[in-house]
Amino acid sequence: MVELEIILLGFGDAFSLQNFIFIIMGVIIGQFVGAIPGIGPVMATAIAIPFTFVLDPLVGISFLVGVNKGGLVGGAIPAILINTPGTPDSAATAIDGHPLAKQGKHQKATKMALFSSVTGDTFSDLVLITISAPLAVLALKMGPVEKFALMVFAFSIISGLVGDSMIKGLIAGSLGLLFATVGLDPEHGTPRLYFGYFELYDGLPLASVAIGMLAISEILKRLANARGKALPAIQIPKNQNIEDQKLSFKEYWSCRYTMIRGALIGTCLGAMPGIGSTAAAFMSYASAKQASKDPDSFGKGNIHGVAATESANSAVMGANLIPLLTLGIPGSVSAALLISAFVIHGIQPGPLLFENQGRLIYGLFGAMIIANFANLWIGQIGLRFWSKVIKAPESIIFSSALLLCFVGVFMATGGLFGISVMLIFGVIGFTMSLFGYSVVVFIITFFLGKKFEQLLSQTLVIIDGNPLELINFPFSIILFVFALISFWWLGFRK
Amino acid sequence: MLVNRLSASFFVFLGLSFIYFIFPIEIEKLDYGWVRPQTLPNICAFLLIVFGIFQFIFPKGKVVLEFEQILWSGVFVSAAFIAVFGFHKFGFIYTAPIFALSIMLLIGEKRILWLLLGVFLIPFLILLIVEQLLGRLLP
Repeated sequence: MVELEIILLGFGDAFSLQNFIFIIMGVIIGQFVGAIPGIGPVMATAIAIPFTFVLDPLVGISFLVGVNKGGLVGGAIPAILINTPGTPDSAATAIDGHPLAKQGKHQKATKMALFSSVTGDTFSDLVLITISAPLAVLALKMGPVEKFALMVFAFSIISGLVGDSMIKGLIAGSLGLLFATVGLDPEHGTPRLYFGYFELYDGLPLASVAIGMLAISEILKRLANARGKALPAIQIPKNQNIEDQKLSFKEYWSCRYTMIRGALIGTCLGAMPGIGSTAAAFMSYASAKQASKDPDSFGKGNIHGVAATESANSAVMGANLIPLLTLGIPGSVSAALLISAFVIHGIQPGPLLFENQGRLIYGLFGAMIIANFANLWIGQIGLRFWSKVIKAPESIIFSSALLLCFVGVFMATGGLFGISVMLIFGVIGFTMSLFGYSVVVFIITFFLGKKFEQLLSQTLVIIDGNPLELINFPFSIILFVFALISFWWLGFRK
Repeated sequence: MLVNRLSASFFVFLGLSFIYFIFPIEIEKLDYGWVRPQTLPNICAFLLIVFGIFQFIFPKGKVVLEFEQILWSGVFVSAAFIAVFGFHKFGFIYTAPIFALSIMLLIGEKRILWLLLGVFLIPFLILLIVEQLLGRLLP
């Protein structure tokens, strides 16, 4: 277990002035971009990763956490104001948030979104801080065979749950793994699939693939839909009644059970790889409606609907880091981006993190808590401001986003080759999403590809290529059986 | 369903071309060790073929294709590739404003104030942040 001294030092690092400033900057950027439909925290995090190179690992990662957390709060603003969720996570927020805005209560709704989001997020962070270290100790007892089985199980869940078809998820996953094999083979050191480009000896650049698949493909989609119409990204309704703009403590307190339920749902679903915050938000919304004495008011502007969805989707963020920090398996695309930030800063995620980088991890935990308070504080001041500032047209937002992607990847890869790779993956991501193949599954398997190959190799050496030897590894057999069940069940369900 | 089948056949074709044309040229074949350089790529290509066939027989999932959207995205991608060439030949300072202007005009932005902001202010701010604050060089 991690010593108390390390924990305290880590928390101390989180409270350094530089870290504090970058967390606040991250939250401000996150809330701002989260509020712009089409950009969102994932794209913002992808673009921001290369800019963190010059920073200390803790400061860089804390900044990204700030962007992510801020983005979740910001995403609720357009969902409530114009029924256009800034992020998919906020789609459920629009169900009751937008009717509230139409009644002239948009500030009440956005404030409830902010408070419930921070409540859910803090709850899930506390769970993460409490259980991840003991879980990592358990994870350390797992050998390569069990880890390989766990990865197969995680792939089966992710391919089944993300997207609208299991087979399409599996195709996207296989493609991600295939692209991960580019570069030197980890076992023999022979170069593979580099097509004469020596830049590919180390594999495809992470930043180029992530930004291409997540940011460029989305920008392309938005640009192609926006052509010919220089529209503002957001329009604020004019029927605002001053009396309805406040959220009283009584109203907040009346939603306490809804928020706790949402936070629990978000935390449980977030801890499982592949189940995103969108699912958590809708599940929490459904359970709040079921538990309500007045279910008919849901969908017509019930403040409990906003509290339920926002507490759940924000709770997923902290819980998503449980499989990432304990097993090295990202549970969502945001976690996958964080894993790439860890790797870029020379840190290998997994159970050994707590032993080797305990101070950094507890620094990260501290930063997460600070980010929650910053979210609350900046949100209180910023909510009104964001809805005015983001009236900027899409033309300026997306041209700037493209330039930032170029510059970010140039900084990350040190050349124009990386930018070309990014554009190619942008086209691949755009085409995949056009045909309904999950970009998220692709990215997660791509990130884990090298590790997967290494574990496959170690497993085959340990069992000497004889599958019957697996009998000596009962836990791995259980995981393989679970993987088969999830392939069958999720495939059948879809 | 037809589009789903078309995409499925593309992946089958892709898997086959990897196995028969690309891997033999691009991967050095070794015959020792449990996991050879060609093992995982072959597994992935094989899976692409199997899942592609499955998807072809039982097509599932929603696909919304708009020809105009694809055409316009092609225009924007071409502009981006031209910008990469521009970065290489003329550098960020000259290329970024022209690239931003072309994207904004392609979207349909005609308001001078927004155009000036996107063409001059944003690239200047990026330049300032990257070169002055972060101390890194731009192309």
